[in-house]
Amino acid sequence: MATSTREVALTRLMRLYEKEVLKVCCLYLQDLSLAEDAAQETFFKAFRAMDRFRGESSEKTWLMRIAINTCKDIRRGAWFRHTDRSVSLDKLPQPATPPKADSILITLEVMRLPAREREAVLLRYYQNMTLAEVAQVLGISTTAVTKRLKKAHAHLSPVLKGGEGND
Amino acid sequence: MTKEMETKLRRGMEECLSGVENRPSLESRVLERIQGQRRGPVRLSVAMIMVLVLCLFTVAALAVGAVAGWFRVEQRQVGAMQSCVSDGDTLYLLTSGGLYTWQPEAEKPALVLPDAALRAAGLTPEAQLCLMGDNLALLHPETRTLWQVDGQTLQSLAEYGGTALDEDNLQIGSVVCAGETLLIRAVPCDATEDEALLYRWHLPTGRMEQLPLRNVVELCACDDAHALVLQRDLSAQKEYLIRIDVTTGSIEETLHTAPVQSMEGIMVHPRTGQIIALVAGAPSLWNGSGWEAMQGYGLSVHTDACAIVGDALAAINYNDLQVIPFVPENSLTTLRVCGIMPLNNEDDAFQQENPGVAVQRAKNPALTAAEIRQAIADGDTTDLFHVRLTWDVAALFRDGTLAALPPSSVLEEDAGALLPAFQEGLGVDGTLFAVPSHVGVYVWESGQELPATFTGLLEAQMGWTKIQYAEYLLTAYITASGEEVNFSSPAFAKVLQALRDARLPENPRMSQPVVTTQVMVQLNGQLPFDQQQGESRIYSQTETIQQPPILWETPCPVIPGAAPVVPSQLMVYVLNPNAANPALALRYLESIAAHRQPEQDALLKPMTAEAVLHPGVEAQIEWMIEEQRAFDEAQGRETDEEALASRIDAIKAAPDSWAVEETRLAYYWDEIAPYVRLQLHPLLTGQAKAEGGAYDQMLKAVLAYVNGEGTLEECVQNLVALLP
Repeated sequence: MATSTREVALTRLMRLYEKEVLKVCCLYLQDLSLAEDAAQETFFKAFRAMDRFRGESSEKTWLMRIAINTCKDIRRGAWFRHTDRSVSLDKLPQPATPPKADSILITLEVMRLPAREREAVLLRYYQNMTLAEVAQVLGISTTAVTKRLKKAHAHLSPVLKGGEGND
Repeated sequence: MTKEMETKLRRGMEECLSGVENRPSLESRVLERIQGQRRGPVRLSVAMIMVLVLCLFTVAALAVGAVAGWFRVEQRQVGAMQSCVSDGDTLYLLTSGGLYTWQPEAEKPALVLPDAALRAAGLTPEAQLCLMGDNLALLHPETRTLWQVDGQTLQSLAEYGGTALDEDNLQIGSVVCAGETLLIRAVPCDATEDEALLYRWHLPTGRMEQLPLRNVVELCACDDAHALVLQRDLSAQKEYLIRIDVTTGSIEETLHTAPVQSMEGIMVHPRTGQIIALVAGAPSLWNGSGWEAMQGYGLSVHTDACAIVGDALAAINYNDLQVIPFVPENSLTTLRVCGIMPLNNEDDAFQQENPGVAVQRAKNPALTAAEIRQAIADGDTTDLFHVRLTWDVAALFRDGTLAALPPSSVLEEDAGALLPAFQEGLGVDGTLFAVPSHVGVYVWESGQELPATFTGLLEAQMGWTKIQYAEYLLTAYITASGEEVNFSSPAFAKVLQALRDARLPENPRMSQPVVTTQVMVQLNGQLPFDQQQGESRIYSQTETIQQPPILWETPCPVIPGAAPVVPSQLMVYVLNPNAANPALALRYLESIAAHRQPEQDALLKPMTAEAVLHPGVEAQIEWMIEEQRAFDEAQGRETDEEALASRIDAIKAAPDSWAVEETRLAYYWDEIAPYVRLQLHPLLTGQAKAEGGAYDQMLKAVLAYVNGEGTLEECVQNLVALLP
């Protein structure tokens, strides 16, 4: 594919999926600055790999796979190792409208999940992907996805069953 | 997960991430990079900072470890944790990096079988470890094979293909061995972790059978003939601790029935035979009739598997292995804290200063005043509660339910330096009841000059709906009014009338908002937009980076001429009058007051606050000086102190080097702090805002009027009637 054609294709992909990719990166990395790095890197990698994309999965699945792998690379970096222990919403973009107390609790709890459970939850419940798509993104079997989701459910159920907190 | 839970989960995350939609597109950056005009995000200087920060953290961790016997291994050292098992002396750990062993005195786990060796045998880290007598075994679900680890080799022992367990829709949760029998916890794909089944595999005969036990959440072997099973029945909200006869698979005894708790891991101490579990993150001992929290440290993370090694509890999750020592009775005092988990590690400083004390936290993110009241009435001896300061919590100060804090010059000095609004919220008649840990101050942000009155806001067509205007009007009026809310005032009537008469756009979302509300004040230095987001940084000695303009605005007052009100919220620690260790709790509170993060301290006490560099940047500067001098010395030349000072100045000139940045602090102190108020009002509690609550009914009354129903007098009468 000629560069200009690929640029047009990339622009289309970014307009369609940029915010979705950024949101997943935000929740995965818990830091807007890192998430924007990851999103930028994701689309750059997508551009370079565009010729190899054969349409075996949907574009979104393909991009999410790149995004998750990019986030994993960032997690392995020294920067993340320093920051990963404190979970807060302070480093996420300021919400357009103030979230409810239980939404904050739920999001914090998702962010506290072990990484492999968190990535499964983000793709399945936040990105609304099918089990097969999540399995494709994570490079694991659908049964492994189910297992991770169950573990995540066990961790999240207290806060999902809880009522409204103080506000 | 039910559809309702899925929706709640998705909605929760969507609300918290709604700000992403307003972020500028990354499109131009990516295209520039493709065209070679921009480099990729590199954290060169930041990496340098972080190496130092990591070193500092390691030193701190080792210091804590030295006094407390903690041990922690991170994923980066050994790979993602999958499964662990212990023979009492040695911990076996299966990770994505391979099979490791660890003994209590060892500095780090030793690799026995690398990942490549496991994969060469057709194994993946999804396997589960178990001990068969003195032998280590691995049950690998994908190949349906039980392997024995013999030194550095693997031997296939048995296969369960074709048995009752050979089902694609079953996930192996855990495996234990008692005598010649394996017990296998398996979760059907369409079920939850709480609905796991139990299988019994008799190895000599190869017979596999499903036992008539459901909802198995935990499993451990007691001896060659018995195992313990924890059953959790969510529909009945009960848990059952059961001992089963492994040879027959029958239930021998129900040891305990209890309400559902957040219980993880059941273990039998290899030396003492005592039954131990993690209950709400705290290692707890089975006393024959219930669980007693043991002295020692708590876990603040979720646990996938745990085991007892030496005199310690080893727990793994995907990210790390933590080893927490058991401590002899009375050798360590435990401070118990219940409520919101801290957003940052607030306990580090206290733990280092108090090696004989362990902080255990029971997580309850939605802890309410009613729950605190009940806990105190029930004689709960939790030392401290960590809770959001609401009207209901403040009511516990006024009615004497919570204990006033004992006299402390540290706390008095801390409270004395707080903004008056915070000071007033923390006590009654000058008596202190709470110590703040975190604060949120919420302003508006706008690049334009905002109208000074509510009617001006209406005319400005800010993209708000009538509901949003009505909510703002009601909340701001109640907050500004304090205890005496006068809905009959002519000024209030006038703004109500103005809202009714306002002509708002039919589709307000299409109009450009001129103001962002609920912006949390952050005092750390910011970079301009075009220099944000991880570009590699070169600290220039000639170019000064200007930080972006501060766009904070105090919310517009509802009543013309009234002072603006900037809402804020505190998270506080309060003392239980039944606290087991009140003196220790006080020491903890003093530590919280003395070791808050600089940004938090500056928000709470702007009058005494000063600009503070990020700790990592300070460390970077120190490191840079040392390195430069050492380098120059090695080169046999004098350090150019002027050049060095200039480099340091360049780092300090970068706005994002500052945890508390001078200009923002000054702006906060001058323009925002005078108007900060805590939203402590009976009409603004969660209960009042819930469906049918007083605030909810008031909002409905206001909306009815502004949408053209009834008269102004009727609306005001309705509002007055709803006042508490």
